[in-house]
Amino acid sequence: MRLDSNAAFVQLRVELRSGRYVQHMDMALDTGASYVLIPTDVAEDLGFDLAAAERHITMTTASSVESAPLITIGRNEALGPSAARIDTVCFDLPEGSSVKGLLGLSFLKHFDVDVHFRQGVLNIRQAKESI
Amino acid sequence: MSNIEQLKQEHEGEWLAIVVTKKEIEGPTEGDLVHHSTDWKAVRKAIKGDTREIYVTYAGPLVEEGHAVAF
Repeated sequence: MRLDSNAAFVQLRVELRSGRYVQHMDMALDTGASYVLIPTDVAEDLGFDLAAAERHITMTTASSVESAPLITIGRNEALGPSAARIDTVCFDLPEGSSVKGLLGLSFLKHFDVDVHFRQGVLNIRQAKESI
Repeated sequence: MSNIEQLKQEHEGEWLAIVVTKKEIEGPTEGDLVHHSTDWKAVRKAIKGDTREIYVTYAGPLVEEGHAVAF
């Protein structure tokens, strides 16, 4: 993927699959985030009942510490490679932000991620055990 | 069916809900626009319960001029 080295952040189109539900959204590549993060509306549209979520996690953001539902999404895909059963935090980033989701380590840890800022290239390569 | 980049140019500054008709390695590239609004929540509400493969995206700059982000 071509990378704009001068962009405010690296944005990827990510496919989220859970059962018969499929959603696509833009996410910021964030190696500083422990988990993939999606808005609560998107989680509900993937068929999750967040009020009944069995797992919650205490999340430290740049501005607060909060509890948020932690769900497991069936399969995520970004730039071709995909991984199954991705732990995902359901949390609404501030209104007005064009960034609604973060592609964090719970997804990225399944791959080798090459970011070449000077060359303007980003690759996410599938590890054999994730196929 | 429309090219998604073309839809973004036609609806700059809005959130778009697009039923995906074609995907490439970098994600959805073509689709049918089913809703658009400057209000993200309005777009989510409009597609609630829709089980089609939908891509929601913002047709504008990643960050407004003079802003920066930290997550």
